[in-house]
Amino acid sequence: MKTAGYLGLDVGSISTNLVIVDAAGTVLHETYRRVGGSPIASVQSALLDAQAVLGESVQIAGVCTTGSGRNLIGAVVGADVVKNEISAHAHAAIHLHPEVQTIFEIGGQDSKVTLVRDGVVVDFAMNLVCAAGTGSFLDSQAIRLGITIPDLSERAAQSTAPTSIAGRCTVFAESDMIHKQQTGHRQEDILMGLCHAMVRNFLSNVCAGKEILAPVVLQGGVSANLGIRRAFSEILKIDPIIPKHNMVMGAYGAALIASKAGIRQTIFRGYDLCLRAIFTQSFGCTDCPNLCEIVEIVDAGRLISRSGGRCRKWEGDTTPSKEKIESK
Amino acid sequence: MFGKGKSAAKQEVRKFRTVGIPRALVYYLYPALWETFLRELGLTVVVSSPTSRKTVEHAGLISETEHCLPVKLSDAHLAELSGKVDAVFVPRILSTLRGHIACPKLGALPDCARAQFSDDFNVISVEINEARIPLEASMAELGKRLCAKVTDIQRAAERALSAMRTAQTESKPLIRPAGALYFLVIGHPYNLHDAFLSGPVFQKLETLGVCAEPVSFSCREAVPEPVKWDTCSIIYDRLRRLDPQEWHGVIHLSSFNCGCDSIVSTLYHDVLREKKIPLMTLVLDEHAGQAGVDTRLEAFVDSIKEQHEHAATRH
Repeated sequence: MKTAGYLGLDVGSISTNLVIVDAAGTVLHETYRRVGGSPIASVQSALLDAQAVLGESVQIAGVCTTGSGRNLIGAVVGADVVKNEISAHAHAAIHLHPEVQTIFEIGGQDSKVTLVRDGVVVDFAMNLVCAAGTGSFLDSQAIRLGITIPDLSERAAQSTAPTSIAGRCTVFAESDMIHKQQTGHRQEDILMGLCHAMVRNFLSNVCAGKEILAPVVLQGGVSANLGIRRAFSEILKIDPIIPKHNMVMGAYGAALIASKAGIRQTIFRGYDLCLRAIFTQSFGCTDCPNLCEIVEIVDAGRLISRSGGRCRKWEGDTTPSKEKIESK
Repeated sequence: MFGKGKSAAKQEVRKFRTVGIPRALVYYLYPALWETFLRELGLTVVVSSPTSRKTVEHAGLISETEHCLPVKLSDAHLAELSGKVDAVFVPRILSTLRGHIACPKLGALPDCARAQFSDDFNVISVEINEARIPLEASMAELGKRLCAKVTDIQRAAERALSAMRTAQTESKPLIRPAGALYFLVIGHPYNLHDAFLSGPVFQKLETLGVCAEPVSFSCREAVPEPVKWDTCSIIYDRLRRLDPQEWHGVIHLSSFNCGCDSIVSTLYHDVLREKKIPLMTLVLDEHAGQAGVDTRLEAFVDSIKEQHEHAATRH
């Protein structure tokens, strides 16, 4: 008898995360990997891994996608549910820590705060266009310093006298960090200063006007960073809870949502999709002055999805005849 | 423009056959009014085409970077009228409501238009200051400047006002399907009724099964305290009277850089917090992608649905 598995895929800007749970919500498999240039390829390889580990023992009975790539990947893999990442993250945090009142989620390009009262999301906020105070900035600083992200994390945590870094804007933060290194501050202290600046920036921008109450759960890719954890404890005077599966909470939440969605017959397109050439192409619609870019997903030469466009008239339209329009 | 005698200006005015109205700001503050008025006076009226991505891109090229999006868009709409009309109607808007003032940027619009487009067209203007001058008087003044007969002006004004009343009541409240969520969407009329800006929000709410209604500005009365700005005060007044039993959420469409909104949004939050009606502010700017709007709306609706289910299971 095969176990029913529920697949959650969180396709974000930096990482693609996969979690498979059983009907009771127990994690059977989890992976965290960098997206690189292609979300589709990263999902294909994550699925291949899952198949290799779980083999034939688990039968996928439901799929939920989340993250900024949720619609694209939802169409590629055949998702029964497509859920926004705020709800997915909250779902996982509340499942693991029902008493949680505040969720901080810091990812590659997004940072969010979600307020929970009595186990229900009551308010949230998300960073605007600026990616200051998110994982991408830590990434770029690690590259500039020639160290790895785990290195950055450990060194920051070792700091004894964190320097003050201007964290309002990453461009200024970078010049400030360079100034501090040129005046002889230790790298650990500069890195911890950076973590403080990022957390202050997050609390004063994203969390502005929000009532931060303990217990606080900290999750998302950046929650792995020891310096950031330390900065939250020092600034908020609350030790954040780092949940089990902290790196893949979006995917975990998505998997839990799939397991509870009452899916009778999944539309999952099968592990086989990892072996096929699936790619996207786009064309400019010239029907109105908005000149929207329409994205098409092609699976082994067959058009399986079209999306994009303000008027949404292309949504779900997969008649190949429309391809003629692009040659206009 | 400067130093011309009154009679010279009048003679020039008389020659106008086609007058343009930018589909921005005043067009949405007084729906159908000025268009109808000028047409009834026998002029050919050209309204710039609806905002599109092209308008937004052009606005970015020609407008002052520090302006808010609606003012930038107004510049692009003016530019579009160049070569199509003899003159463009750009009123000086000081107040659209008794006891209130308009956003100060709207008071400078004719000067800005003359400075930027003096080679392209004449700018016909009139002062709109409903705090002191009735709207009818501003229309009469405009008619006089266009050398129209008094009887013609009166007839045109009556028809224009009636056209505005019709336009403002066109969007009747939706019928409430049982169990559906009901949202009020608030914001300045030029954000709310420019389909390029607000369309994606209304469309998304519809796909999420939410009945969304834009706040109405047909009410010409509002208590002037504590908000002095006209459109903000009408909104605040409405929020104060909002029944939590009937309204499940409020979406505030604000534009990046809006000085008025940055002050009043706290008041909106406070009054709705007391009523326990969730409010979410979406900031419109030329860079914002659809993805961020979709994610926020989905999460907002999820959160409200869950709160309702939670409340239902408790009772």
